[in-house]
Amino acid sequence: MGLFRALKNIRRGKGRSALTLCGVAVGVFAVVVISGIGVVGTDRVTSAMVTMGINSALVEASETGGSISLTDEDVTAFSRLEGVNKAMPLMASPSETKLLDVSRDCYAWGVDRQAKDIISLEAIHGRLIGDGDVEAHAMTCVIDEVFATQSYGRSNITGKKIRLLLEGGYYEFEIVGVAKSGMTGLQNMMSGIMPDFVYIPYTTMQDITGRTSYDKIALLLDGGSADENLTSDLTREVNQLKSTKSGLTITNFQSQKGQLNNILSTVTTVLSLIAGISLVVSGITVMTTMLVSVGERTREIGIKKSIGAKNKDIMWEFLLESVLLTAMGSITGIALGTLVCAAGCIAFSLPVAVPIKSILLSFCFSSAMGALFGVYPAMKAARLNPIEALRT
Amino acid sequence: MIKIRNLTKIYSPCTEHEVTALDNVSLEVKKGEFAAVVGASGSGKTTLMNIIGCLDTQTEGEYFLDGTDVSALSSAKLSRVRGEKISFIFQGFNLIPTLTAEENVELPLIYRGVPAEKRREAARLSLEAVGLSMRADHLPSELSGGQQQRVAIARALAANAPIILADEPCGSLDSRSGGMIMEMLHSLNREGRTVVLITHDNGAALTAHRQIRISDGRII
Ligand SMILES: Nc1ncnc2c1ncn2[C@@H]1O[C@H](COP(=O)(O)OP(=O)(O)OP(=O)(O)O)[C@@H](O)[C@H]1O
Ligand SMILES: [Mg+2]
Repeated sequence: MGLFRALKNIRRGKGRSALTLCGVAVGVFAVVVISGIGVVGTDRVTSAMVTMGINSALVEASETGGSISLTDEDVTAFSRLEGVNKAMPLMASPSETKLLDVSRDCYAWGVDRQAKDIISLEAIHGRLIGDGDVEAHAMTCVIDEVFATQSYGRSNITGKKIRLLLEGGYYEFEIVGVAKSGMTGLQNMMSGIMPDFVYIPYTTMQDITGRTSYDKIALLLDGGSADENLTSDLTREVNQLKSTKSGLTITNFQSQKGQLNNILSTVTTVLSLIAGISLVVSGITVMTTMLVSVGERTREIGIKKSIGAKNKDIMWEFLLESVLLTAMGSITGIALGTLVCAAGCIAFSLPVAVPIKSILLSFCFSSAMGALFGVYPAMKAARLNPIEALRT
Repeated sequence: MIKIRNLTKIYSPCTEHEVTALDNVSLEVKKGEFAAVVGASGSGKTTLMNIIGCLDTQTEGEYFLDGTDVSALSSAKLSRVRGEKISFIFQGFNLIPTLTAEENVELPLIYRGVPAEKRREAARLSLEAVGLSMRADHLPSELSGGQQQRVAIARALAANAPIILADEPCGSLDSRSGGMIMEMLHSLNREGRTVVLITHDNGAALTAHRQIRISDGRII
């Protein structure tokens, strides 16, 4: 009943209420959309990082390290270190492919059988690079799903041939498998920046490039132990083994992911806070509206007091009205914001993610704002002297 | 029921605009009485009614309502006293313009926490008693002055307060509607309610049990 009366009073202020409602809606809309972008971004980065293997780490020459070549012995030695489960040589080379006469940039990785575990490679069609390929220095390759669908229109293209430009010459490889690419979203989003990945036996890569050493060694760390301490311990040990001081660095995906997520969530939080200012502004609008409404209804307040309304009754009446006004505004803003978020996700063919937490938060925040900024007008109304109010 | 002793009301005291609206007034109205307060404009009638109605407080003196010293009550208690013991009928009707006749009549019961069903029933009966059942869903602006005042009387009826304070209830009505309102006040009085009527109209005042004449804030 009280709610119904409040609604009726809001309707009375037609244009004014509508404008106030819009103000609140815009503020909430901004918060929802910004945090929506944040949530989607974080999701994307997380899934991209998961692709790389959460327990994986990469040993490579540091920028200052100069020419340190990693060898088979190093691979074996590293794999025996405390906390390390497996080690795999990893070679990388920027390349270009020719598939159906269309050339495109790609990135070739020389890997071995352990790619499955160490860099979380997963075959959705065919198979991955196996021991046989490595021993035979076979001209076989695994390409990622996005690459397959984008060039062939379907993902299962095992058995097809692909030409790779390596060290200035084209080599023909047989596609033996298609790998699931967890970075689909990221690659879609940054297409052109993020090249497609092609995996070939590292021995084949050595043959073509004429290098016997490796650029990097990928490690699979013992489950759950991929923390900062282990990384720094390992860095020290690895450098000892190669008798350098700091020629080698270890990149731990786990900590990298943490860092990236931290940055992302900081940025999102800051942006949301800025958007939150608009909520404060809309709170002030609500206050203005309510003050005008109190002024307009002074006589009514006097009448109500003369027939027994307590200060408290008047206070609640106005407070309920301002909270309801903001709540309606924020529901409108949330609806619009969610729609825009969903539409955006669909437009960029990302999985639809809705920032539930920020939605709830901004709803509560704006309602609290309505209450907070409603208190002053409501108190003003409640404290009116009934005789003076009746005289108006 | 109403007992006022040596009561003085000064507006804006200790300033150059100081007005002594009531000057050492003593007065008693018994339960079930119909008292008329008459006096020239500006003589302090409305001021007296506001104090009796617990809307305002005196500067000096005592006012006992049913034996309670009103000046000692908190504002919440005063609201409660107003809601339960007193109903006002104003010259300007004082209905809430956005509420229908029935909702206006219900209003005092809302503040008393009466459940919706009972409220509606009481409002319906009260409107029937003043002959306005047909107008229950009309807004005040859709009613004539006389009808609006009848809605105000219905509101007092629904509130079922023992004291009715009427400040020139017929002041803005033609004589026929005015007569009707006076008749209703008398019938409220016959039902046992105490009525204090403020009026300019000597004829109306003479229908009361007693006339209290006031001049320049003093009872004469
Ligand atoms: N709020 C106020 N502040 C200052 N003076 C006031 C106030 N209210 C009333 N007065 C003064 O007090 C005196 C009594 O006023 P009151 O309204 O009681 O007269 P009244 O008898 O009701 O007159 P009327 O018949 O015209 O309604 C008047 O001189 C008036 O100017
Ligand atoms: Mg008067």
